[in-house]
Amino acid sequence: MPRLYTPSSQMTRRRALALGAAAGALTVSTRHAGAVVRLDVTQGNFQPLPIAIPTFLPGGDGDADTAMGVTQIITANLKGSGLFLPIDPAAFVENIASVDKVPNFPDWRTINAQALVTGRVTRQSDGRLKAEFRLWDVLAGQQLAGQQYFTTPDNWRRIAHIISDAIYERLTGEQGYFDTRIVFVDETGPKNRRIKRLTIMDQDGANVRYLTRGDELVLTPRFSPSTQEITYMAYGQGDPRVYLLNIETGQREVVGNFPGMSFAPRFSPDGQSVIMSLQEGSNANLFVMDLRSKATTRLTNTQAIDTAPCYSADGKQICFESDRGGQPQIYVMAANGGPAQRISFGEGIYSTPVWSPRGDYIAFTKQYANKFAIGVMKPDGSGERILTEGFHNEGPTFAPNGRVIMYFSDDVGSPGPRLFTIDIAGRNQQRVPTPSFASDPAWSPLLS
Amino acid sequence: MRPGLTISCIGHAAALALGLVAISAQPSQAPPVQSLPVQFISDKDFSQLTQGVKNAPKPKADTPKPLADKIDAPKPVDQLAPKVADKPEIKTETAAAKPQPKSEPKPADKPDKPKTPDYKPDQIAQLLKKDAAKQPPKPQEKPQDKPQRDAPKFDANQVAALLDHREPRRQMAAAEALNDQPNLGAAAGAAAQLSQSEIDALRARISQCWNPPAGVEATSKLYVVLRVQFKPDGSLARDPVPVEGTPSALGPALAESGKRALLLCQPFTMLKPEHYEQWKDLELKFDPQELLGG
Repeated sequence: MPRLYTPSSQMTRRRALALGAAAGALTVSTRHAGAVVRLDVTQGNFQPLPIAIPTFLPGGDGDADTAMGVTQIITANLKGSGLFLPIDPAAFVENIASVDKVPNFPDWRTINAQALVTGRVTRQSDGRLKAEFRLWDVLAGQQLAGQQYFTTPDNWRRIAHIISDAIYERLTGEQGYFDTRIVFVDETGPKNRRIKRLTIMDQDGANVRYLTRGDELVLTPRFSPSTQEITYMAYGQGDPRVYLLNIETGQREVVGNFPGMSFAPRFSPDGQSVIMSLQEGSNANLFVMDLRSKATTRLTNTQAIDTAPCYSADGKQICFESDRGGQPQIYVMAANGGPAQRISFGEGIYSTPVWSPRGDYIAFTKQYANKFAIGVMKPDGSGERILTEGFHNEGPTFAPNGRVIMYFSDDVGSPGPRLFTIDIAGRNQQRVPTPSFASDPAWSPLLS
Repeated sequence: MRPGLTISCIGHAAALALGLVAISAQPSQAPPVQSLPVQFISDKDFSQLTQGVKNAPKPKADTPKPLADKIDAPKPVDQLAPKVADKPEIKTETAAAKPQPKSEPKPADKPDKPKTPDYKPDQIAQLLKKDAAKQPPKPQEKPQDKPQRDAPKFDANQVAALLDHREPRRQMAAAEALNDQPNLGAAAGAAAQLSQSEIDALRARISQCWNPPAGVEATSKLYVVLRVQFKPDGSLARDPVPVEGTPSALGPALAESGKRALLLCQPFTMLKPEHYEQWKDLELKFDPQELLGG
């Protein structure tokens, strides 16, 4: 009878087994070098972090109000982000008597606080305001951050925003967005005779300042990366034109001198140029103008309306809206022009694309089935996600950290539009307080 | 009418009488069923039983195994083999090979899954064969060689002698250590002692308590490894220390979130004190990628 296995094949198998055993021993020896057993934790719960923010201590007799105000702003900012859960001060066990002393952590653990903020506000002899804070990890019993800031007393709100950002950054690991401003179009008066004024305010709705008088129509204001300048479109008697406005000086100038309408302006990430649409007959194409040399470069040349251009964070690409395919859709192309690639393919009309400062998403307005939605998609068009939809939602703008989007919304029965924020996961929708109706918001970069 | 009734009565009476006789003649007991020894084992014991370690010594053919085996297992093979040999028309290799794999694994697998293949062939080879050629130690090769050579030398007396060897095995199975001899297998690390259920329970508890920092993104591929030392009661012996991680501005926030999870949820009572040596010092890798769908 024939043998099924020849001696040579046996040898091979035996050798293979021996080799395998040797390899096994080798693996084990390296494992022994590591010695400690390793486990993977890949699941968790995203929950608001419970944080205790006792009222900041006043350094002197007249500082109590400011200290209270700073505490309230920090609490409101952190709560508004949706990522923190400020604990009701009525539950506090320990009464913080000094910012320089280590808190009694068990007292804070009993009320389930995981982070604790202590601080003090002092008006100094030179008239400046000193604000200091410490951020504590209650469970680990460690200080996570500690800073002090000096400013003029009327700037106390900004100090509170800066402290909020420091706490936010330390605990979430990403940049904050509280020390920022919003420019928007303030709308007053009856619907058929609206007065529209360019307005600026802090992101929390404080310090409202009107930048134009309301004698002309203003649209699409956008911040420069310097945060000192705004570009926007306005029209009074003549054609709509793109303007540049210095917030501090109030100085205003027309961007370029073009024969037709110029509209939908936006700064490049370096702030050196403005990209916009210029009317050419019944079409519109994209142009970029260098603000120093005033040289204008054409980027598109189509028999369609190309508008709403926006640079990517690195300035290498542009996303824009075009109806070259029949109806408005979003396209992406290189910053110096060339072939454009359509990225929106869903049902309906896509408009007002805006690139996240983080670079990971493009936000847009989508119109379909008699609804307006605000959504995000990846720059290659994948992963489209609708964040909110309604009767009329429009004009998304990103917070500098790319986590939160602000937009304006007009309900069916509403007499006018209002501002809202929502995070890019579609959670934590919040109304932004404005003095009256508001539209076309633009979020500034961080001020500091 | 009347004869019909009479016939019916007689017929029924006869059937009844026959039935009584027939039923009473049957033994009323059920055939005695041989009882099977059953042992309840915990999941931990099972994971130990099936556990292998990579540095186990290679099984040697010559050394007699202290754990005796189901030596009777090969019997059916021996009986089957001659049948195959009897048929003159089956001469191809494939035909000879076919019946062996079918019959061989069955008796081998049933009584003792992890161990039988190691011992049985050697014993058979030594006891049944006077052949000068030594058998290779590998169990897979045996079945092919054996029936061809062993079949004519089959001796019922020798098999009976082998059956005596079952005694030590039973004692071993009832002993405290289920697997006192390491055998080759996958290196699943500490599972040899620290059971999978304990590990899973620990992991589930930590996951419940872990609130990853909001800044983590699916694209960032961020993780951190914390070295955690426990007290015997399952609480932390000292603060967890980051030992490895992706360099990032987000790193500290991620490490602290893991630390908070451990501090918040200690003590971890699912870790059994008898395994303390295994879990007193662990490395926990906090990796939010799966959570973010990355």
